[in-house]
Amino acid sequence: MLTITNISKHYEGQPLLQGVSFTVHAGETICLLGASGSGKSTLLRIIAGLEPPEAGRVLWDSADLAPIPPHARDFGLVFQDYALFPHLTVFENVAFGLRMRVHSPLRLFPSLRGGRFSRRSNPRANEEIASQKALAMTDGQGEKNSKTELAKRVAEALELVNLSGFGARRVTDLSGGEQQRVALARALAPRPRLLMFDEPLGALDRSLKEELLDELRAILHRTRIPAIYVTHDQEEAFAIADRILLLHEGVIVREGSPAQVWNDPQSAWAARFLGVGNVVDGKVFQVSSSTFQVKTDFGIFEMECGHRHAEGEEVALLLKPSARGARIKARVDEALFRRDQFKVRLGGGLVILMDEAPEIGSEISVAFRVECLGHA
Amino acid sequence: MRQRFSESASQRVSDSTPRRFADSLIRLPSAVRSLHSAFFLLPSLLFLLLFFFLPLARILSLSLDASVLTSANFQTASHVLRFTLYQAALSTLLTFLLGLPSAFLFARFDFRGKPLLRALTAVPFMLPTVVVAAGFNALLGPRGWLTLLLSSLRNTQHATADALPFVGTLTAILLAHVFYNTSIVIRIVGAALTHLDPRLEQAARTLGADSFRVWTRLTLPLLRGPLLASGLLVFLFDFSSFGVILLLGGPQFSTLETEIYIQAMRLLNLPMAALLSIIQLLCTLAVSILYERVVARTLVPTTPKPSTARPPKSLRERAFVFGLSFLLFTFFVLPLISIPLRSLARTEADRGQRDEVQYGLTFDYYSELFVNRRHSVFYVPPAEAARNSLTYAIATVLLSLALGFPAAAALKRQTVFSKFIDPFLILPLGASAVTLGLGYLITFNQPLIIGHWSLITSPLIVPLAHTVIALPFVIRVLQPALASIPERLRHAAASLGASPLRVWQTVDWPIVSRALLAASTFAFTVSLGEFGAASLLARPDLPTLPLAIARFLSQPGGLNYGQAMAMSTILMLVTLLGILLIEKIRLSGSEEF
Amino acid sequence: MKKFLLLTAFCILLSACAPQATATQSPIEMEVLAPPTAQTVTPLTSGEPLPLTVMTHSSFAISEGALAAFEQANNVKVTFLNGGDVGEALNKAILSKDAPLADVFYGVDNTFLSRALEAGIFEAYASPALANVPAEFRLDPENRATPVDYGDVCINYDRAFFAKNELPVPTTLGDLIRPEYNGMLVVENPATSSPGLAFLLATVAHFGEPGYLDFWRSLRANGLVVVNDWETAYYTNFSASSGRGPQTMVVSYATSPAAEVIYSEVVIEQSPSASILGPQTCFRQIEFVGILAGTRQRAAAERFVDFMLSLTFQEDLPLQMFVLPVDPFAILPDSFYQFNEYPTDPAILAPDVIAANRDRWIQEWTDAVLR
Repeated sequence: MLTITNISKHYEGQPLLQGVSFTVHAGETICLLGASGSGKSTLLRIIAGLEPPEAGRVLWDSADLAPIPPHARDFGLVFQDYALFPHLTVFENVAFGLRMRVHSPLRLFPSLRGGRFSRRSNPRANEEIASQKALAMTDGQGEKNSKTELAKRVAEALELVNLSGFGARRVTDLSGGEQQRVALARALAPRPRLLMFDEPLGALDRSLKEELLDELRAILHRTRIPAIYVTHDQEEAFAIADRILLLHEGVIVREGSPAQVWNDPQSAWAARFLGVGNVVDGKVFQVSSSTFQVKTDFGIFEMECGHRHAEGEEVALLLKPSARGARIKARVDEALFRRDQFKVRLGGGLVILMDEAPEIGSEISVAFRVECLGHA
Repeated sequence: MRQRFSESASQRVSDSTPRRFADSLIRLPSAVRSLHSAFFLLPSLLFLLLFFFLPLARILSLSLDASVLTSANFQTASHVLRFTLYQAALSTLLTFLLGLPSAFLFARFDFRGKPLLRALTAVPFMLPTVVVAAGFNALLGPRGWLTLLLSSLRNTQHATADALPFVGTLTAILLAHVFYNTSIVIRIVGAALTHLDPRLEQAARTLGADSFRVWTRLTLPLLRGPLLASGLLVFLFDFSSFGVILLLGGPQFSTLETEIYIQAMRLLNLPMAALLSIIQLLCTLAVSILYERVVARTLVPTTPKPSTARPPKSLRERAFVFGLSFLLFTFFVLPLISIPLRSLARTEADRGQRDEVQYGLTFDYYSELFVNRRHSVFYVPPAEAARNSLTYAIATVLLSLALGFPAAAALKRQTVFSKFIDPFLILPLGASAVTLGLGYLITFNQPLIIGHWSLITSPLIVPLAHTVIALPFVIRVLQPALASIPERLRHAAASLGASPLRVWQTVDWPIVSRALLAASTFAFTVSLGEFGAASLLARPDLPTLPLAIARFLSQPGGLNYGQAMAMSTILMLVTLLGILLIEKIRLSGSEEF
Repeated sequence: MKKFLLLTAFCILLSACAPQATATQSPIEMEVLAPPTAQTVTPLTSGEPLPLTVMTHSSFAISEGALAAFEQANNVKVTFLNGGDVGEALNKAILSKDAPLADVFYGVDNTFLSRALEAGIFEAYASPALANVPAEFRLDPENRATPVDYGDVCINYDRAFFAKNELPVPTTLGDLIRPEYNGMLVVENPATSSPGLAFLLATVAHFGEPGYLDFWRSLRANGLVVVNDWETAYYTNFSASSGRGPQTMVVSYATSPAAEVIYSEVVIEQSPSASILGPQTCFRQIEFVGILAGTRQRAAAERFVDFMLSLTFQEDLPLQMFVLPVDPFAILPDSFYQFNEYPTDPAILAPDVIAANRDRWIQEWTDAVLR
């Protein structure tokens, strides 16, 4: 179980991460969703040990990883542009991590291994250690064993990503999607205790992306390896995550299951970023004991709010089309074809999806559910 | 001065080959084009035929003489060859020992004084060998600063017995070679390392490779091409090193180059010298071919953002950066700074001087350069050697530009003919200066014109040899520059109503002038510092500056040593100025030379 | 002998030099004492002086007075060319023989004489002054090469060192391989240095073949130091020279001890060094002058050869180049009697023996000592 607490980091004088904390539970896939430059990749690199945080801690089963170098953390990392080793074949790329676990001079010493590479609390530890031992045997018979074990594990990993039989190919000869699969197999093969994906599908086209996303979800599900998936693409995030963490200006602004996050973005930024509905600015007009009255361009709405607001305060409201709710009359400005629906832009900037395109210029009445998002 | 610079230029030429090839197809029938370029190439080809290939052929025929091919001679040759290979391999190894960490330092870390340090490590690359030899002599030699320090510590009044054994040892040779060639490793490997995608290393680390294995399993294999290329280049320079071995090595360290010199000039055994020359040529040819192949196949995965350098963070990194940059600074500055310091310091009496010796700061060694002492080792004032060198260098510049410019212009568009001829123009790079000198000795020692004129005793012979050495560089510098002149700009200017002369003035001249300046500076510094050919060819009454330095270095007395240092200082400063000029031209232009 | 030339001119220029020097030791005084020219010659031309070029080795030196006397008497302007070490200078002369760089070549010695004669670089000239020269110096019966001076290549040793350590000075070449002299001897490479070659010939003459090679191998085992040139050996390696180097014995000249006194920074009564003069320990070098074939200044060249055999030049020689004149009537400076001793039984090899074997001996020596 990975826990990070209060991680902070600056980049060229600007705060990049400001006290980020979260936990990844066993078998769980979480997704860090945020705009480009929000510090997602940096966070991954900090977890991997490739960069030190300025403040905060990275813990595995409550043991601080700060003194553990990246190569001893046993975390897999998949890069956006794959970072395959161009001088090695597909097989050798996938086998790389396995070989590193076998021959490393450091790991020949059990004491060091126990000390530096504490995985006793890993539920898979025993099985894993046995497997490593099989790989590490060095006598004549053992070498043969370790070789077949290595080949077996590479083959398994390649099969997992649907690349059986690609072992002898040069990685430079593969297509983008194939390269991404090799990168995935390479990260999977050593059976890391945590997998991290840094915009892994960013460079691929849409259909390939969807296909790979499905496969990836299936693999993560099957292997039960906890994973952190970093992306700026909410569709990817919703497709793969058990839990989504919205990262904005170095802070996690919303955390929850895809449905929770979608249904209740809880902030104007999150709602806008996700494109949940219409975010409208308003001014608190009247405060009563449990409800507020907020004045907007589209009328005055009365609602309950999680936050306390004073009169005259600027707030943001979320207007979601809903069967029950306040009706707003507006003129149709524009209707754009959007797959099986129409994206209709109304006067004042409200946008709704409709099954049939209304006549441009006509006035329609739409029911909205109005929610309070807090400060504008 | 050594032979450098060729690779990047050669790679550059091929970059836009297809486009230029297409251009040439459109503009003229290729047969006419070939004739056209042949006309411009003719002077260079004739020149090389007469002053490179003919002497080479004479060497070959002389070496095939039955009297040379004896087992005793082969034994000597094989001994010399073995030592040459041994010292070159050892030097290359040591160069890598310093060069690899330095390449890593420059590629991966940002630190204060980095640009200065980088420039500093590149300086020896172009320095004349006599200056390097003088530098190490002034630092570690029997009359160097270290000896003076040890003597004053032991209170023994400047005794050479206090000197650490340096001059005349293998250590001196190796150290000078490392001093010379580390910048090759830094430049080639460092560039590859800078451009190496850092995510590959990070991927390897997350896959469980510790930093040692990241190096052995990933970085080094990925850098195989640049490593091999720089290794071969360093080996080549160490293999054909002459001045360093002659001036810093002792009699027991005989390489092919110095043995050619000794056999020819001391033992007058020209056939044996020719045999050694042929062996030397074959070896350099083999290494050069290997090098071309390695460079052609080099593939390094690059990052779009080349700068992966950052300030050192951990204590270990800081210690590495500080320690290595301090070591590099010391290693590259001390020998160079020792020369001017020694040229201004009187630390021993002049020979035969019996009055009170004024130890300390003195400018006498400089003013004495202009004094003709009847009993000085030359019967001319040393300043005259500087004048000779200057004259030779200017003649070399004029001659190599006169030959090289038309050739570069002809080669700027690739035709079948120029493609075939190109290697012949570059071939002289492979022959050592000593071999060239030997070839001239055995080819031009007959009177050319009836009477008393022969080329070998003419003052022309030195600039001729220097032109053969400089010409390939001049062509390689001019060719890409001329090729880079954009045709479209020229057409555009013409269509706007500019006369051909105006077009040339506004479009061509700015590019051409910079290339000409760089090529001239290069030819100038090559000639100014050249030692090998001059030591075989220079007339006794017209010695060059490097020859004068070499001779003054071994003479007794403070005055001779001081004058050797003064001359070295002058030569070093002039060369540094040349390097600066070339760098400035290189930096200010879009085209890389 | 040679190479002790450099800064005589300095003494003339530097005022403080003279007061400390005694009359007989000072080069300045010697200039004054040089006898006026005895020759009665008529100038060769009456107009512009004839140019005469003399190619020689880097150790050549002549006093201003002697040269001026020659130039004035003959109306000749002499230019000297420095060809480097004797061997190198000679080779340059041979390589340029079809278009000679000079009119006269001075400095070829008996170790290289055959090479010069075989190459045919000299024109024969029987100087009338040869009459005074003893037959033992006249090695070329055809008079292409005219003997001018001679000197003995001997091992010099550091007197103070041997005295202080109560070490017996070696008396024969054979002594040098004894362990108590380990690491004490520095010699020059015979391939690149003429005294080095002369000393090699001394060992050949003394031990014969192949005994000389055994001797050299033993020397090598006994810490022999080899350097490329005499300057380095003497001024860098030798402990009794101004360089105060680590080796206490050096292959140099029998006249070097006198030179040490003359060039000493302070006035001394005794030379810091002395030569080992045992039988067959030294080698006698004889230096020759010749007129280069193809010269266009034959008359002036002849005059110059005559001049080199004249008393003016013969008596100028010792203090300029530290060699001994071939003319037995030339008077040596006092210091040459005071501070020098001369070998009575130097090693001698016949010129034809040297000619036939020199290159082979050098090669064998190289293989035995350097490889």
